[in-house]
Parts: sequence; structure tokens; C-alpha cells
Amino acid sequence: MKIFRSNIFLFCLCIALAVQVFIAFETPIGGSFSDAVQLSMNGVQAVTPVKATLVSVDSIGELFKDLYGEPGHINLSGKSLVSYGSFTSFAKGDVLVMSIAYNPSTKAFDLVDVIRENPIMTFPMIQGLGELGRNILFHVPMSMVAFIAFVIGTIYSILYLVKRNYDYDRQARAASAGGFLFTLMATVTGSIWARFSWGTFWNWDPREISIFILLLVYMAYFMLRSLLEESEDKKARIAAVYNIIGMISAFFLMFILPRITQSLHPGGGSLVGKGAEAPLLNLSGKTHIDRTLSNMQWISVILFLFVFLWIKDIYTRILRLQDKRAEEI
Amino acid sequence: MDFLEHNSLYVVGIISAVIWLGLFTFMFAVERRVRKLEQTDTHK
Amino acid sequence: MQSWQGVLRKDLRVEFRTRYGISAVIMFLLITVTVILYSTPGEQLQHSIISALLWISLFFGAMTGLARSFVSEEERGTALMLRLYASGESVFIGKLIYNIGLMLALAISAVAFFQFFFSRDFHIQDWTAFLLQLGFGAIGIAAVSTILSALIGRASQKGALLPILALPVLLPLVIATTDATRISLESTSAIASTQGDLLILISFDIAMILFSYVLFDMIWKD
Repeated sequence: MKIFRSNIFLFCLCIALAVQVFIAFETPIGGSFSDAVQLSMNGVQAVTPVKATLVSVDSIGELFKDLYGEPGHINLSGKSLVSYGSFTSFAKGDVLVMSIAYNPSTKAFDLVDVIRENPIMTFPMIQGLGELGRNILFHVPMSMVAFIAFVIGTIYSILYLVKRNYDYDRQARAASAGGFLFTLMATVTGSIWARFSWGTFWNWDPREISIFILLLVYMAYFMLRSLLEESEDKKARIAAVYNIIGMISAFFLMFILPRITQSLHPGGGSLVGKGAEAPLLNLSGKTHIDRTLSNMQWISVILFLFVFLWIKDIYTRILRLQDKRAEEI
Repeated sequence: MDFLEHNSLYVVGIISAVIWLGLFTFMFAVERRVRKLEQTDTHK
Repeated sequence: MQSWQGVLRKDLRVEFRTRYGISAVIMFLLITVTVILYSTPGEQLQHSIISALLWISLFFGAMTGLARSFVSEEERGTALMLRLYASGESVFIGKLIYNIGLMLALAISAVAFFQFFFSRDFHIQDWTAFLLQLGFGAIGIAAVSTILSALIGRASQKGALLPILALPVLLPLVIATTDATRISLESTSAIASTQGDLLILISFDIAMILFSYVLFDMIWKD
């Protein structure tokens, strides 16, 4: 991991994360006309952000095409588009992000506000989430990195058992420490999201259980290392074995259980035919995520992965220094 | 309170940016110390 | 490889002489059932609750009863002799079979106690599904307890450490079994609905036994 010693790389990582946070909060959410119609189905005229392209400029009832190409009339109620916000002019072909409300009586949309003109990119609107959907760029990548961190730790544990090179054990410990941090952050972001999305901070949903168990495995791993009174080598071997056994359980909890029982997370019950398919890993092999969002998500995953690898690298070096000092004494 | 409600998204963003900055400052400080220790060790 | 029978026979003989293992387990079950009885006087216990209570009793019964398999060897000083006279695999297989036997005895006693004391709330509708998930669940708990008690053989806080280590590992099993028990208490043709749970249990058992068999040697030999 020599790359983590170059200040330039770390600085770029820092900048990249700042950019990611900025994009996560600045990008407007743009849905489609059918989203707006669906949201007002329950009788209340819900205001929906929608991304649409201007087809023809008119004084009453502009014709727009939304992001799927569906045409729709937006009722301006007599005002002209330029009167909204600080936009100076609108031309045919302009992409606008607007707040609209579906009016079932006139079968047209009423314009509430113009949010953005010609945005660089928009987030798709996910039903029922609205602005909370931005958390997908934080919570989901953190959970993925938490699990990848656990796998990395287990791989180093296996390497230690096979090769008996003590450096592998140090790396396993460092990976576990970093993984614990990310698991904690994934739990916190998920719990806050759950509070605003499903009502309570904790729901004992299978995926929530799996991340909680990952926390318990980490805590048991660290407790095991500190409570055993054996030689360093024996302690390392015992901890490595526990890491591997914990991996088996985590594998079951992470991938199999949430797909068999009913779950609040997407994908619950899909393997026994009781729910919709999971967005990413499912039997049909097709992904059900919007392209923009999925690209942003993968970029976040890679950024967070680098942060984890950096944490692991520093901690490994600290452990090496500690052991070298202990030897000299 | 009103200001917070209207710009709540930016408040969350600022808090998040502060956390990242704090994390990175801490990490950089530790990194510098570890690097110094490593150099003095190999020097011995 | 034949020496696993020797290990098993030794453990069984010690057990028949002192009856420490089975009596600890039975006493624990009695105490648990008594506590449940006195804390829910006359209350109607739902199927989900009573199935959870059953598996809580089985989990903690296993923690108290099965921890002894390796810990007692270290305490009595016979561990070194065991290492000298038998290979790692045979020790593991012998201890595993002994623990499975103990766990099955615990499970059957627990079911008997529950049937007797909670006769109003604990009616098993589908015996096949219930016995299948009970059997595979018991095997899983026994396998995990065996390898984990080998891990903490010489730890200072053995009593507290085993449940802490065992819970995260056993949670998929407990989730699957409580779900399957609840279903077999409710409907007579539970096999169809418990398919997923039984599949999880069987694959969990196979994975655990295979992995602990391979990993045991790494920690047994000094």
C-alpha cells in the first residue's frame, strides 16, 4: 500500500470526497410525469420535482416532454416562465427541473416553482423517499465497504493461518478495526434514515439484524483478543479462526436471510417468491437501479474503499512499530 | 429554527463536510507522526 | 481416524459416572421453565413468543452445558494427554458427536418440559417439520459450541465469553429455527412454508461442521 504514503494521492482523495458530498446535496431530484401522477393519487395534491424538456413555448399550458419522453402539459396559470426565480430566458429544448402538482380535474400539471435550468445531472425520484433518497449515496456505499472490509479481514486471517506470517495477522487486526468503524457508520446512517423513512430508529429488519451482528462479531473478535492469556501466536490463530466462523454467519445473514424473510429493505422475500426482486444481486441478473444513481453509488463505494484502505494501512504500520518497540525492549 | 428548516439539506451537508474534514485532519496528523517514527527507526 | 470412537467413549464413560453434563442441562431447563411460568401467570402466550422462549432456553442451555467439552479438559489437565494420544480430527469428531448427543437430549427434554408445563399454549401441529428443524438446529448449535469452546479453552473469562462469541455466529440458525417452530405450531402442513428455513439450517450445519473440522487442527496443535 505504498500509494497511501504519497500526500498528493491523499489530498486528491480528500478533494474527491468533498466533491462527492457537494454533489450529493446539490444535485436536484428530477422525477417523471408518472411519478407526479402517482403521488397525487391519494387525493392530496402532492408537489413533485420533475425533470422535463421544453417542447414549445407558449403563454398558457406549455408542452413538455419528461425524462422518459412522455408528453405533458404544464399549466402556468397565466404567468410566464421567466417570472420564476432569476432565470432570464427559456428556449425550446431547455431542460428544466420544476415542482409541479397534478390536477386531476384539468388532467394537467400546475407549475409551483422552477428549481433549476439545464442542470448537469439529476437524481431519479424514488417513490416514497423524496429528498431522503440522497442518503443512498452514503448509507449503501458504507454498508458495501463495511462488508468488503470484513471480507478483507477474513482473507488476511486465512492467509495468516496458512502462511503463519505475523504481518498478516496485524493486517487482519487493522482491517477489522477499519471495518468496525465503517460498520458503525453504516448502522448510524441507516438508523437515521429509518427514523425519517419508516418511523423508528430500529426495526429488527433482517438487513438491520445483519449489520448489527457484524458489529457483534467485531466486538467479540476484539474481546477475544484482549481476554485470552496465551502466546501471541496462539492468540492470533484463535482470533483468525473466530473471524472465519463469523464470516460464515455474516454470509448467511447478509445474502440469504434478507431474501427469504419479509423485509423493509428492498428485496425481501424474493427468493421464496413473496417480494419484488433485489435491486443489485438477484436471480434474473438484471439491475433495477437508474444509471445516474448507480454510477454515483459506485464512485462513492470506491472512494470509501480508499478511505478504509488508508485507515487499515496506517493502523498496520502503527502495529508494526509497536511490535518492533516491544522487541527492542 | 425557521432558517434551519428551509436550508436543512445544506445544514446536513455542512455537518457532513465538517466530519470529513475533521477525520482527514486527524488521519493526516497520525500519518505524519507514524512516518516520523518510521524514519527514526530505520535510522537507528 | 478410528480414535474418535475412543474419545467419544471416554467422554460418555465420564458422563455416565458423574452425570455432570446432563444434570446441569436438565436443572437449567427446569429453572428456565420455572422463571417463565412465574413471570407469565395465566397469560396466553402467542406462538411466536413461545417458540422464541423455547430457543432462548436451548441457546443458553447449550452455553451452560456444552461449554464443558474442552474447558473441563484444560481445567483437569487432561488436555495434554488428549493431544498426545489422538489426532486433531479424531478429537474433534469425538467431541462433536458427544456434544450433538448432549444437545439432542437437551432439545428433547426442553420439548417435553414445554409440552408438560405449557400444555395450553404449546401444541405442535406439524411434527415432521418441527422435529426436522429441532434436529438440524440442535446439530448446528452443537457444532458451533464445540469449535468455540475449543477456542476459549484457556481464556480467563470462559463463562461469559462463550455466549458473546456464540450469539453472532448462531443468529442465522436461531432466526431460522424460531420462524420454523412458530410455523409448525400454527399449521398442520408446515413443511411447505418452512422449506426456506430448513434449507438455511441444513446448509448452515454443513458449512459449520466442514469449516470447524478444517480449522480445528490449527488451534489444537501448539
